Amino acid sequence: MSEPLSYLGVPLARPKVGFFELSSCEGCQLQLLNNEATLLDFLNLVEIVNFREGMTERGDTYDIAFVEGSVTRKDEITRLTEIRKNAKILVALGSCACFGGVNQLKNRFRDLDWVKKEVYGDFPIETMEVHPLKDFVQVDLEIFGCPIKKEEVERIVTDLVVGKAVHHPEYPVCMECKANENICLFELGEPCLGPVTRAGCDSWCTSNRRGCWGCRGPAEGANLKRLEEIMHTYGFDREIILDRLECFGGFASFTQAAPTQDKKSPARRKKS
Amino acid sequence: MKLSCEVNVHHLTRVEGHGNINISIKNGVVKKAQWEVIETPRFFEAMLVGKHWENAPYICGRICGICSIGHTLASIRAVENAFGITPTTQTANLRILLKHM
Repeated sequence: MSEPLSYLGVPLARPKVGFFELSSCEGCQLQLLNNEATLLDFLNLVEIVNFREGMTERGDTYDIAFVEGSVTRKDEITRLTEIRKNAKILVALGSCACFGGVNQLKNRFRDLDWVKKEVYGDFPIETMEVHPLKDFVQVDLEIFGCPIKKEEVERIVTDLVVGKAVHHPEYPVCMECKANENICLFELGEPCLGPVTRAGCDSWCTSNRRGCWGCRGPAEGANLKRLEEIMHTYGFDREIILDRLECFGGFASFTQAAPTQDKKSPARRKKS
Repeated sequence: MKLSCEVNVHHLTRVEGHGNINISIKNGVVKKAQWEVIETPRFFEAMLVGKHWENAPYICGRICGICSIGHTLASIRAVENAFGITPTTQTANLRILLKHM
């Protein structure tokens, strides 16, 4: 190990951190391991004591717990409560943990028994309505994204370790997209939630010419009505907007307010 | 001396998903070898019901964070099959390349 780290002359304690997952694809944790260029620096900053996807050793003494995934079964509530008890700081890692993520798409059906039958038939399987972590425990910090943007997480974790306040951008992805000098995707015939989605991803998708799907949830003061007007101007119908708004759960407060977004019953789908 | 032991791995490490392995060996003979999938179900098949086809690759790519490319490509292929589309050789080759990333 290199010399002990310090910040502004103050020595830094390497916090013990644990990574955990509930119902998720574990892609957010993988993001951290993917970043080979800065992985060693990251590992120097914290001491990882629990990271099932990345290592065999396990410890239950940690200062910061990063929890990925949403709660979809009762035993996950118990596990989450236990993690909360052990940790000083609990971080919701990724959109599943923050909003329910793609998992919450099943919540849009009125009849959860139908959802179970559709996939598993009569095989007994336990599940429940999908919830973000904050529905059961206190969440100290949320890191948005599906998946999380590793550069952003490294910045946030660095801020946490040195004791700086963690700030999320209040402005939308559109700002970063413009700063990256991209041609507006609407002009290229691609629908996009960039005008309303919280920035911080450095316009990851839109810089690669894929329209934004709103995985990071709404920017402060997101103007959904204006987005609808823009979409309408460029010839995209309401279904495209709603599909994207409901995909990761971040816009739940907006989509649930819309009367057309009432929960679907499976019988109704056949007509479309 | 012949081996007798119990191997119980709770939550396999360094993989995506939750699985347990239970193995029981008596006098060098494997009596039980059990693989338990204790992963929570997420119901992707149901999530897609009623959705426009364009959503499928985006949603299916989230089945697994490690092999998301495979799931995305499989989903795209399913959509293509449904519409009777055969991708060009260039596209097919690019997809094979993607799978090796």
